[in-house]
Amino acid sequence: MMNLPEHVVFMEKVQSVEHIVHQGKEPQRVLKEISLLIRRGQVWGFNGSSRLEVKLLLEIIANIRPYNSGRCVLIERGMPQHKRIILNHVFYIGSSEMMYNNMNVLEFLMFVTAKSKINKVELQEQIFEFLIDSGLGHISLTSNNLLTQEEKAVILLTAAAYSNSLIIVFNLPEYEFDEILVPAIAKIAAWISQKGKTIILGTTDCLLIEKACSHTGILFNGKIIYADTVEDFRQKFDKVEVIVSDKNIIAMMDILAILLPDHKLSIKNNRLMISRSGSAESDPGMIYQMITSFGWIPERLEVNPKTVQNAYEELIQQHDL
Amino acid sequence: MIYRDNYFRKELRQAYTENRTSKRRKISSALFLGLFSFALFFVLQTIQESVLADIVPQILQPSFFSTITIYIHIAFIFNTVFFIFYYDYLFFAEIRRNSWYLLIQMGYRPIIMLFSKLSALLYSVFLVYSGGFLFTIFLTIFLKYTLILAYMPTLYLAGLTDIFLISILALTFSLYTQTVVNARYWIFLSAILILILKITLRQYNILSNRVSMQNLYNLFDLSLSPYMAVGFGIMVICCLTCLIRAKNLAKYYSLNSSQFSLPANAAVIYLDSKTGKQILVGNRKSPLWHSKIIATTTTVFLIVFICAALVFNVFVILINTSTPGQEVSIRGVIPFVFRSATMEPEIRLNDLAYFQKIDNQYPVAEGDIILFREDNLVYVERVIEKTGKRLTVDIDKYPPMSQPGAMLKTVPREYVQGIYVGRNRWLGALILFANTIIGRLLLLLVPAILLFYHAQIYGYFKKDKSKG
Repeated sequence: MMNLPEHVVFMEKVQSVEHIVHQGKEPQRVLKEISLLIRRGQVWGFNGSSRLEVKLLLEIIANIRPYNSGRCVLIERGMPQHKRIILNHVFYIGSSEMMYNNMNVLEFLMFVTAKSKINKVELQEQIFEFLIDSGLGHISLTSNNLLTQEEKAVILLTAAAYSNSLIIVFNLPEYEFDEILVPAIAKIAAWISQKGKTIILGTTDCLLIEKACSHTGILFNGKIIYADTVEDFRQKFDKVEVIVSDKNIIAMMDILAILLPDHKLSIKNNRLMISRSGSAESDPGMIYQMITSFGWIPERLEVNPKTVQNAYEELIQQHDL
Repeated sequence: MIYRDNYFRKELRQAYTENRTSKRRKISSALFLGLFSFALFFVLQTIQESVLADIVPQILQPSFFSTITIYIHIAFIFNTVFFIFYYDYLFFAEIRRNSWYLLIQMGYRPIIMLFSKLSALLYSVFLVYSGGFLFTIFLTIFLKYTLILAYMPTLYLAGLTDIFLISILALTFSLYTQTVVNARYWIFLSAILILILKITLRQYNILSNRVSMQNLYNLFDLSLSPYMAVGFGIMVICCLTCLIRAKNLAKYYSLNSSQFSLPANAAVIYLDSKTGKQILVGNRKSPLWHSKIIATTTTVFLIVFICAALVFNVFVILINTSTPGQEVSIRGVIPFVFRSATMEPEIRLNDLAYFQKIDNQYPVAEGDIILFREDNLVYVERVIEKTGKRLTVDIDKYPPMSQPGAMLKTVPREYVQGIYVGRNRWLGALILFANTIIGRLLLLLVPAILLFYHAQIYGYFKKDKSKG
């Protein structure tokens, strides 16, 4: 892995050929001036206001669809003229249909990894243990035709992890992964990343990005409005510091508006959200002290864990305005 | 258990999740085919004395030749249906589903997969066909017919060629058809095409001749029929096409399975910035009128078939209730299943004969065949002489060992109830079949099942369409 290129995807002002047409409106280009740099070993999760934008961006990255203008370079080698041609360094998963239904999960994984030079007995043990570690042990001997399309997709990702491809593109923004599959994807993604490979996920699930990705890219109206680390994204855009729950939440909000003039207060799902305003740093401990000094103890007060979901909503809201 | 699967073994498994199940399925299919052909032979024996004896005598004779001829046709139909049902597993649909993309990424070689798929398919059909062939022979031994080995290899090879041909044709079409539904239509059309080829290239002339079938080389004699040469030619061309096309398709990721999720009122287009030309991409769903045509055709076909089957059943019941003295007349015509050879060759055994109902004023001429009643018995005989109000009648053919002129009689004109106007040999055979237990079950059960499950049948076509 020492001689591998550092920059695995480089995009500069890439524009899609595809336009979207809404009834009675002018055609709009789906992707506009996309610039992006993805490095080796990173785990990227792309989300956006439209699944089409996410799907198309990842298809362009994987050389599945052509682009209109701009520059796109894969692992510092450029981009082939022939689209959809199989590239050894890119493993693209665009649907779960590629799975064979007439075998079970473990058998399928053994079948697709049959060309691997690892001893078959060891390989089977390794795959089986990996499935158990990923929380997929319960489906390891299930027939593939009984799996959901999301489960199939995760098994395909496991297979991709065993390939020699440097970039794995998991482009399924239309799929909804449950609480069992999200940690499984996170586990597989971490393993892929450990091997020095890059994984790019297309999803509309913020939790998946939070659990599995080191980096995220957010698309809005065909443009990338954010592309950096997940941690930075959460800290920067999820401005809620403290969440307060109480029966008299509205009365409490009026009082806190006076006590915390530098903070923004809002009620969401019967919970009071106390956010910092602007980019100023805020201390949750200080907020707690302010509330208790008033002699009033709320039923529940928690420090916001900073989620990708909140950050995403905040970012989209900013751009929607 | 350690899984050590390879591509050939996966292909041999076909639609089943276990190799063992697949092996059992192949054995049971072979046994079923043999048994079914044997049973069909007995069913056909019940309508032996009908038009079928003239048209397809090779399947009605009490010999090994008949049971095996039935078997090779049944095996062909079975394989066609099997291919249509399990198209997804047997042919190259997996390339379009990108299953090969996955395998190629994992180190598999397309050329090896191509040959494995072809050889596994041919090996499977060969195994089932040969097993069924042997089982049919085994069952026929119990009938104690004379075993003539000379025509066995010829019959075996003729049947095997047809099955290999349909297999390779289906394999080739699967590389060109975009949807599963279209591929199934193509398999069905290929089967029809093979049957047409066999008729037009005089292959059936050899197959129906027990003497010529005793020489294997007759199958390959171009002066007798070029079918085998044409068949082998098609197979070679198809194999080469598969090789080139499959190798080419396997180089690319297929976008068939990749669909954009769009709002209902939106579409994705390619827009040429220079010319402003718009091309619709993705989500190429079949237009609404197309689905409507499929739905309407299926519904109309079901309705027509069910109604025709019910009407035919009523017709059969009416004819069966027609007893001497109580002949049933339909719009002035008395249909009558003629269960005698006494009027041959004009009316043959088990023909459905039509007699026009006449009154006493109708002029009956010499040479007419009439239906008359005497002593509460119904007779059909030809008028050979007319004297005033009396008619002299006789039958056309006396059975062997009977005394000629025994049926010659003179009947008064008022006894005449109908005059012969025509016959239908095929309808006669069908009524004969309808009156057997199997026929009764089929003709009543099939429409009843269709009527009961019409929603499911319609749903199946609809589901396939959406899948396509």
